[in-house]
Amino acid sequence: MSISNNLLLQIKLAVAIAVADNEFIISEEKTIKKWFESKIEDSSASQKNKLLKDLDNEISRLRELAKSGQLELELVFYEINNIDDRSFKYAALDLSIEVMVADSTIHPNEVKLIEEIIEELGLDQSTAKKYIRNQILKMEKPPKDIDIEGLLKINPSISNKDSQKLIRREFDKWNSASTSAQSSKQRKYAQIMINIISKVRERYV
Amino acid sequence: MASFIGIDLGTTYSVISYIDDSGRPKIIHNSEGHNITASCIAFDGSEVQYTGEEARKMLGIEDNVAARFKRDMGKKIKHTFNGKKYTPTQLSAEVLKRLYFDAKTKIGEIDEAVVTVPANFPNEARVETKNAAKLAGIKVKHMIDEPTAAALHYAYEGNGALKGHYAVYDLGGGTFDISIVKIDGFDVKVVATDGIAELGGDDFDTALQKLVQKKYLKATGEELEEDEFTKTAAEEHKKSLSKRDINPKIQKERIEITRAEFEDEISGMIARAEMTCETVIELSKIKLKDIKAVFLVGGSTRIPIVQQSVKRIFKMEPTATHNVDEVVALGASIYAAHKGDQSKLNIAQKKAINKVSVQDVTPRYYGCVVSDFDPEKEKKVSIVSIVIEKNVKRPCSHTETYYTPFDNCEKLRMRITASNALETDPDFVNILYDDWLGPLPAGNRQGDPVEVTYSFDDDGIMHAVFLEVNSGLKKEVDISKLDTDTDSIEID
Repeated sequence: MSISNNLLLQIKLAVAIAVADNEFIISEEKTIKKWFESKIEDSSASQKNKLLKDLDNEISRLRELAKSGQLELELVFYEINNIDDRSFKYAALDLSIEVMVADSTIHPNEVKLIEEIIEELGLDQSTAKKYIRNQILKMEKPPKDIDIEGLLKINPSISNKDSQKLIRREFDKWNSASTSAQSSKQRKYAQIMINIISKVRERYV
Repeated sequence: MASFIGIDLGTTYSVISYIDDSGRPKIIHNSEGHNITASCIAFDGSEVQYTGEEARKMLGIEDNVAARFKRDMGKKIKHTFNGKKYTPTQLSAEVLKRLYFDAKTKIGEIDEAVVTVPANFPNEARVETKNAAKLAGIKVKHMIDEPTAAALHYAYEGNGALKGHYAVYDLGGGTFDISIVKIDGFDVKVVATDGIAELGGDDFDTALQKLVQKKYLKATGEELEEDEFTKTAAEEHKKSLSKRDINPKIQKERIEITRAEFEDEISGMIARAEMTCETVIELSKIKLKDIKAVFLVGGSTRIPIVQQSVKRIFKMEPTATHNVDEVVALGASIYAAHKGDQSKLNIAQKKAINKVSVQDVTPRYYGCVVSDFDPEKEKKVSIVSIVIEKNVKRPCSHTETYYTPFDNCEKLRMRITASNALETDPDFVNILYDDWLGPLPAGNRQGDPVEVTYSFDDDGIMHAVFLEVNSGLKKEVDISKLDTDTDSIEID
């Protein structure tokens, strides 16, 4: 028994995201492993051990490929699109997002790759954005170095006024969460996000 | 003769006012002769030693001083002093007791009081404010949102001449509120309101304290202890910074702080206020050019960069024709007389007070968690369905009908949610209540109607009813009696 092709496709995207910020750190690897364990929980103990070993090997192999730029994502997208199952596509995106936020930072390269996944798989932007916000609240450590401009797709072609509008919409979400999110840790994270967003806005005044 | 008082229970300072014989609101000075009383309590053992300015002076120097607990209202937080634990409600009650004592000393027995709350105060914090008043022995029948109280005072002092839309920019010691109101003579209607729960003078003090610590470290190479430049000291220097640069002497070192440096330090906070203003203007659907004036409320609006920010957003000079520390309390006493027993008012008071009317709005979006099919993800997901929108005129009541998900459903989960922004993700909303409606009668069918009714009273407190229509099985939820915060925190 080996890792199924469907799982492998999701792992490939996850590793690509993990390597995107040039650092594959332990929390990102842990996130992939935890997710994988949930997928093989019905397997026998011996099967699990083998599959987990296979996963380690796959991660090492894929990491090297990704680092050297040889992980062919076009092929991964092609295969996922061939499966033609939206919930599977979203499952792949969700894992990638979980890996992206695993180190409590969101790097511009990671955002770019997430955008690419959304576009190539034909997924909905706002659903993805919702999931990213959701995962920020669940970070283990407080959020830092979040590429707000990337997440909001703010670029030089957008006027300052429109950029401010996008930033404000994001601020409203986090301002609400700072009093409404369910735990005090989440409310604190929301407060940190507000601070990050407020600093970003200063660049567009 | 009846006495009606209004209490502005603030994060850093509190103010109290009453309606005089002629029907005019007047500030009641405290026993030290001041118009404002610091919301600080110093403990000696398990006894309250001082409430007010004396306690404030000890803040940051002594460990046994409670301050800024208003921010924790409604949260399961306990503050510990000399081994004894106090809830924010108990601490607020101590401040209210002091204010009430001062009021009674000045004007005698009091018939009715109104306590103000920030417009963006969540349900649980409103309930606890009422509880604090009860603990202090104050009869509080009604509450009013702080910016609404301020608008009422501006309308009252305008002698019926104000007509049109106005913005009330309320930046106090701990919270920020912005409301767009429609004033027609003495009639005040809130159109839209929004705010930030933790933004105010206290945060500016912390910013200045950190700036001084940073510069001290740079100048001396040594860390500055908190009691060497306290928050109280920062507050005093912040006031000076509104007029000139400062150079506080700490130990033997003079630390120079320019206004520009301070403004740079708080610019992120100002940006937050600006974004909230933009949001409320959008929510109000009022064009900027149709806003006739911006009324400033709260001590922090004295800071020049704040006034510049207001001007930038609203494209006009803000108005502060009355004392920004007092307007909320003054408006609250007008409201107390307006809502109080009219038979207790004298002729002059009646004539003055009967002219006013106030219409407030719901402070948040209130909904419930339901299961729905997500066509994007092609699976069932939990989402928040809104029952009562934010900024709806109150009192109000609204019913939404939902349906049982399958045949022979044994029970239904009732989760009441609240959020400041329109939000459908259950992780981004506050769950005020979580329980089951059941057992449902046997033989029920998929798609049987379940009605959810939320109602708001005048004070901004919500009540809910869940009804399984076919069987008549009903659950009434009194949100005011709920223990809503699930996190328990202790602060020493």
